Amino acid sequence: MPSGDAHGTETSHPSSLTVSALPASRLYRGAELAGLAFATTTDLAPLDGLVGQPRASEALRFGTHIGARGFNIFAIGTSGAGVQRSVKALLEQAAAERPGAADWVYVNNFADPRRPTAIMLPSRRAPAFQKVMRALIEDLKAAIPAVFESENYQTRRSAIEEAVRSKGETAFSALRDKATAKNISILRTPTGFAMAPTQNGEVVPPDQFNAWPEEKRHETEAGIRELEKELEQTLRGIPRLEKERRDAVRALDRETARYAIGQSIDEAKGQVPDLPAVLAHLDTVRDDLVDNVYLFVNPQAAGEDGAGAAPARPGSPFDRYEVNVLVTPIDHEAGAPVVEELHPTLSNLVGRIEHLSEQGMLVTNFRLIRAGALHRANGGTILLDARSLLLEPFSWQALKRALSQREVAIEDIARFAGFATTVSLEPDPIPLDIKVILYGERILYYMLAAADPDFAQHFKVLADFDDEIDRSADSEAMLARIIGALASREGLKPFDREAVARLIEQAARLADDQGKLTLGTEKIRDLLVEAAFWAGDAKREVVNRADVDRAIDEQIRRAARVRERSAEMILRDIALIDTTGSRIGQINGLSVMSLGDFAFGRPTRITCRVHPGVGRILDIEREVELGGPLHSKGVLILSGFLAGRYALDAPISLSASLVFEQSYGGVDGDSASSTELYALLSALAETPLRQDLAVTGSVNQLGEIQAIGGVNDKIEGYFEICQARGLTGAQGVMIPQANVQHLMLRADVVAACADGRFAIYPVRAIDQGIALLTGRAAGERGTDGAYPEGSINRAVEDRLRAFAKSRRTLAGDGAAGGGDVT
Amino acid sequence: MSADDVTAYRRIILDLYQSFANRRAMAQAAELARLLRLDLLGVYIEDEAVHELAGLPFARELRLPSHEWVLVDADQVAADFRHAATTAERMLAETAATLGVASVFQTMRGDPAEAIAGLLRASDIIVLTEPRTHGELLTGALAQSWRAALGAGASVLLLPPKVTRRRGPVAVLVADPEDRGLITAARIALAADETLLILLTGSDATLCEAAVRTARAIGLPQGRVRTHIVAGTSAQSIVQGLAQANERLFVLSCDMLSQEHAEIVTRIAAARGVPVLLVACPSG
Repeated sequence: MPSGDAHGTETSHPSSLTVSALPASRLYRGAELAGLAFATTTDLAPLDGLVGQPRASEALRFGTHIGARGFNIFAIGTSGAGVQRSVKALLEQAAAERPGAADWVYVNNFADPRRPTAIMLPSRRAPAFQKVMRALIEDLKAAIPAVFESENYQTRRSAIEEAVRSKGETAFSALRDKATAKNISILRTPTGFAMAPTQNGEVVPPDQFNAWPEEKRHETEAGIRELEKELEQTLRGIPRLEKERRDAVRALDRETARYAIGQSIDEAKGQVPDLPAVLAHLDTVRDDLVDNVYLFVNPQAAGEDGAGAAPARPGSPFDRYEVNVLVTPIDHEAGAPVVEELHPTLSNLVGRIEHLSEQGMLVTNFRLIRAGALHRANGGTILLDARSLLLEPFSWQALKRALSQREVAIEDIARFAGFATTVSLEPDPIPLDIKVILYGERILYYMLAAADPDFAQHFKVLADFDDEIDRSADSEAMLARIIGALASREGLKPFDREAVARLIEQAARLADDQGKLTLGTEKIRDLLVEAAFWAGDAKREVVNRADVDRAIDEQIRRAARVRERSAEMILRDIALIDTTGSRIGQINGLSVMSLGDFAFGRPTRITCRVHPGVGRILDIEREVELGGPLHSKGVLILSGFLAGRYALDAPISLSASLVFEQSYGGVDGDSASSTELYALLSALAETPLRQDLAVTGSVNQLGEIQAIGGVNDKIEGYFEICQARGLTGAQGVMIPQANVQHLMLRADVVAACADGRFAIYPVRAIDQGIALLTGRAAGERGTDGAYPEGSINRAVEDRLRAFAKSRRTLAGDGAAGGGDVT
Repeated sequence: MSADDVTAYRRIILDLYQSFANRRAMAQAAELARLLRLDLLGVYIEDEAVHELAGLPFARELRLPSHEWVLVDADQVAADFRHAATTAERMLAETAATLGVASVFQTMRGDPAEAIAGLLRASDIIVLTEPRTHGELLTGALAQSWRAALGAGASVLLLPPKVTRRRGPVAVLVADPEDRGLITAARIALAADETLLILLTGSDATLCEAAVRTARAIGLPQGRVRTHIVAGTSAQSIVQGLAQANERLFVLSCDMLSQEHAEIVTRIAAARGVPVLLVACPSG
């Protein structure tokens, strides 16, 4: 058996000693801020970021500095622990010292507009490139028309037109002259051309023609047939002449355009001489401008029906020369980017391609490509809430794909899924150099690690945030500064020393441990905000301890409807709980009910009945499937305890039934196993148990009392019932000795204990507890191997032997085995 | 010639013989008729020679655009002419109605050049269309129409193959402040709410002032009359002088040109992509 400490029971053998109530000083640990000089939180240097998390801090530092593939970070902690805020603050601090990420732009791919070209530029150079291109186009809008309206161009253009026209006219004139010489006229019919014989310039009427000698008619007809061939050939030559003219004009236009454009392009190049990708793009722009010079000059003036002009696109026809700045830092941003995407849909993550409705069709171009969070964080860090990411369809897969391929490809899920069949783009993927930090609850990490085989490949660094920190003067001082920072960030009134002390104490209560402080800053923040509100309500400029108390009380009150109803049921004797007297086989257990963020303790009557049987303890909760596995385990341990301690020379011939009375919901956990054992021992020893005590604690097969959770809530739950009925001074709660360090009880409970109106008893072993509950010593085996007369253990063993004898007798009568069912 | 003499214009005549479905020419003619408040007359001439051709046993026609030879049938020719005339009449009526102009359509039969010559008066403006294809040049009909118009003392509005601008100043080449072209151009500019750009062939301040006075007398405010000097009256000089003008119409008088009216006007229209109005010289 472990030895007790200075505050609890002093014992070399616990069963031989009585248990003393804990002094009030052990029931609550006040804050000690003596080493921290301040009047209000405004005097405190703010402390923010990753505080009290050395393990997580080192993991983050390692994860963010290691460049190897797959060493992305998964930061886990309980909800509200401020993981996201802490990580972000740390990252921003580190990122400011790193060089800025590259800019990325998309430009038109003139060879294949469906596949826009991505260009990487040094940080902050993209806007300048965009300006250069815009200035270039604006310049050309003036320069190109001026060149095309110049005297030189018009002269050369006229010469071309004239030359080609002259060729055609010559051919037609020759044909006309030839026809005239042969007395043939070329006529225009409504639908074409025809030839007719003439005489003296007039078409020969049919009657006259028919009167001609046959030879002359044949001769004329033959002449017409010959000319018809020439007419046909001449007309068939027209398209060739037209093409010749178009080609000549186009060549002139290209030559003229190349001259006009070349100067402007060279000037533009001069502004970006150090950017080879941009220089290459400007060369393609030059070629495209020459091909599409009719965008800048009136197609009619240029003469070629707008031939070669760019096809219709959304917006201005000059948009094709625009620069779509996908990623560039905002003016005030410095260093590597740290991007947090709070809504990580697929498109928010990997970018999207927008469409415009044009004449009933959805159309798009490279200017409608929009960056995603991965683009913005490229070269830096992206912070993602794991739960949000996993809840968005396709996002998790897209992130893994991007990490695997080390590039961001914009994926249009509507197109993949067949929801949309409109024309879309396939932009160049952008190389990805990024550190991904996921944050979320631990369960998500463990689930992903178990269920997703790719997970370990991509997230090799775990940053596990502690929920609590060891309580010391230093950590209290640190929490005081965090409180100061939170108050400042939220724009709250300052908090005085006592208010800060109360908040620190509440942080220990939230940790359910005197020796720990919670790091769940979200709850602390809520409390700060509410306390400041009540201070304001009381017209106080500084928040004091009473305001914090009020905030805590109001938080509880708002959530306490169920607790009050539960207490009311007990006080009205609907739920039967005795708080005075003593009963055999009946004891007050304690349980905790959790409702959302709020938990409270309530007493539950546990009863036990025994009789001879086959050595089985019947757990009624389990039989009706209201008991969970841990509860069943606790009950089964009782059998082990009995078998190991009593009637060692005979089989256990006991049948017992245990039940949580008036419990209609599920029961789990083993925190009532010691309580059940006390009830069982009472029933076997036929010795009544005190009803003014409530009991919590689990027990092992050796009879040692083990720690349980929710000790503060349990004590307070029983205290409220007793207080409502009137404290007798005999009432109290037995708790495991190991739970003493967790006590952070309410002030009224502490005060009642200090006044002797209530008591908390720390118990190490079952023998101590049974002695306290029955007023009789448990008893130790003597040298004769027997427990002392009058002891509880003796009574239990005697009863078990009696059961065994009874069973043997019944077996001799041929009726063994029955009666184990209650 | 006084400004009132311009009102001597009575009709805009649109010869639809060569191109009966030319809605562009119809719109230009209707627009000018609206601006000058003239009657719009569309004329379609059935070429008598084509009718006679149909009676010849071997006669055949090269049909466009298929370039197939088919025998000419008299009934078919008559039907084709009727269809062309009906189409021309309907399209002209629709186009004129769009601009709020009344139109009259007339079908004639005979020799096209003679028919036009017989129809035209000095108070007419005939709208001719520069051939868009070499095929249209084949018959030499445009030249015949030119000759007919000038012979009748009528003015000619020549439309280029493609019209570049429908808004902008009305430009006029002037050598005399009483130039009939100046007055006509000023009238059109006033009606169209456009600026008048007066092109002068020399830096004669007196002529310039007188020309501006004439324009102002028509009713154009000072801010809507501009002047510009050109190098000469050749087609090249005029085109260069108009380089930055962005004009919608160019006007000049016959007496500004020494010869080859048709060639010069055709060149200007083609180079500038705007209609050119050649105002006939007073007879005698």
